[in-house]
Amino acid sequence: MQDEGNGIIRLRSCDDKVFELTESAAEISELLKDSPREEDDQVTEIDIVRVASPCLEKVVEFMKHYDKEKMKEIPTPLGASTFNEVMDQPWYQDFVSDEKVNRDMLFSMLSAANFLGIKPLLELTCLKVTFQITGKNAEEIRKHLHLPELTPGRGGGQGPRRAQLDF
Amino acid sequence: MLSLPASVVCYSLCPFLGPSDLLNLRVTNSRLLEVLHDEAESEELWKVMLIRDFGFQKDAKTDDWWQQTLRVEFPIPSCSSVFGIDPGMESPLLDAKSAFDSWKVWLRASRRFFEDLPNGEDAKQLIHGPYFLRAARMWQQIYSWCNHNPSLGTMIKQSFQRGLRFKDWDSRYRSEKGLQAAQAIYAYCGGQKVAMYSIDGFDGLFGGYQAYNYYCNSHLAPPGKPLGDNKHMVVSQCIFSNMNRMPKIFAVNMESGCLSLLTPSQPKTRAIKDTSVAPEEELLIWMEEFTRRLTAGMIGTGTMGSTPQDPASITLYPRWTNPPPILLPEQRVPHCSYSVTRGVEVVASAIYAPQAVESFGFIYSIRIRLVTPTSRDSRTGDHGDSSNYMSPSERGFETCQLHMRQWQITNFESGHTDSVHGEGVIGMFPILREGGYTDGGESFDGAFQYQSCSGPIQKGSFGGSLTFVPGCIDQPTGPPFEVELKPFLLDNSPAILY
Repeated sequence: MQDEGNGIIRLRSCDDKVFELTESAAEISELLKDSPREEDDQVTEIDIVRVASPCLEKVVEFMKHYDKEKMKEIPTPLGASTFNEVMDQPWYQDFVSDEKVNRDMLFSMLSAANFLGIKPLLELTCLKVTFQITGKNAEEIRKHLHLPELTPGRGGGQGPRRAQLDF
Repeated sequence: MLSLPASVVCYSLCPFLGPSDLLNLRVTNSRLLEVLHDEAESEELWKVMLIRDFGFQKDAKTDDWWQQTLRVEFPIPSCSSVFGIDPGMESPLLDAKSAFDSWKVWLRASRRFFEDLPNGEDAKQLIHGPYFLRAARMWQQIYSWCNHNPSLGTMIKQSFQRGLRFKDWDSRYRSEKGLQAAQAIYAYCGGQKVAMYSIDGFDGLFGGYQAYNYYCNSHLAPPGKPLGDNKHMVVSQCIFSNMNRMPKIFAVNMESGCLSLLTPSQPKTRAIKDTSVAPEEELLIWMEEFTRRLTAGMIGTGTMGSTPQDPASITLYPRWTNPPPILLPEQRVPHCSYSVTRGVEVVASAIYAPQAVESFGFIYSIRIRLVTPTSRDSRTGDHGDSSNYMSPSERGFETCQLHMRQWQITNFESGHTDSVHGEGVIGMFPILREGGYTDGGESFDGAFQYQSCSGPIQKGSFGGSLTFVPGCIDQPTGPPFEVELKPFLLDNSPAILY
């Protein structure tokens, strides 16, 4: 009978790097929780084909820490006007800080959190994106997130169909 | 960002973004515009936003709970409400085509309501949608009643003042939670102009009653300074009462929203008996119920006096004839009783006047007339199903005169019945004819109606009979006969006080 919290899970990134974490840390992910386990004392290895190693490393780091210190839930409405006021836990503040995580990595982590079903990480990354958007007008948001005005393919060649709201 | 699935954007990211940010994000990029509008998740997103931002609640029973919203137009001087609408002329409501359209309108309504506050306080504030929706519906009904009851209705409409925005409220109290429902109501009408007594009528929206020389007619009061205790704000005031020691004031507790009747002689009385009602909604419930009764004809236009020439007013004597469900079977007495004997129709009801409890507890109104061929039943209007009409030969007289009265007043609690008898009613001996009556030599059209008072009592019934003489008392054309007055209810603890 496998010991619930102490078993080891191995995650293999799409670029073939392996990261280890305990069973109890892995269970924070809905996807990993539902994945089948190897029999007896065999170590379970799961391929995470959609996530590359730099991102997967961060995700695993999150899961390991969350196992030790739970992240507080984020309320809606947010109730405060800066990121650090809403998320007051220092480790989590630092985890997604601008120095550690650039924009591309942030969105990769957001996607990975969605794919793996890690609700707290999804919330944390969304919160970070929120504070990058809040207070900016459309042009500033576009610049900051490097969004093209039109996305080619769907409706390309036409401007946004709805005008800015007028009060 | 663009590679994120729509569900992540809609369900995880957007709930963190405020209304302005959502609007900005929407127009940054055509793909995001699609995500926020065309994808399957988008309707769900805007419904969540309606709940988050404007206090709506998902309705388990209907799928389109989000559909009805306010009409918000550009304000022009002639319109009466804060939202640029005159509810007397056009509907204050709008059916939105999508949850986003609904949310957009509520945002516009919020910006209008919170306009022009100092220091940009208005930027973030959002109205509590359900209160405003209910207030809009209610005012629509009130104006509709006024339009259908010209003369008195026109007078009442003319007394309505312009709706109030948040900045028009006293800054010391306007953020109190107990005033939220009031603010929604007053956005459409800022109260009534204080009227003088006029022979044309009493224009208090909340109506009143009269007996002998006691008159009471209540207005929707414009919000003013709070009462001396700094806790209550007056919303309804009796504007004309020539016995000044019996004023009648309804006031709202600014903190909790509880609505109470304040009179000098009585302890504070809750206006709504049912204490399971959410206190912050009490004023809304009280006015909504009033509007319902007015629209359904349970209360309506009458006179402050005993002749049709007396000033018109909304009178509070109940007109409904269904017995209340709460009484014991042997006590099933209706609020308003209806009887016809030999063509003489008697309709009677009472209203509890708590502010006058020391002198009298109830004011009752009795309306008597001869049934005519075109007007068979007062309850249902001219063409009632039951034909109570009897021709002069069938009933045995052309005219008849009231001679005596006999009342039996029963107290339900003690079981005791008082008997009262006397000549005439309030010193009058009307002679009834088809279409009108004569009193003191003067001839009037319409039913004979008078009001009187009944002393303090717990809860009971009032009934009896009137003795009429065919022809007239001086020259009878036949023997006297009894006309039944079926018992009506004296209820000193009504579910809602007006």
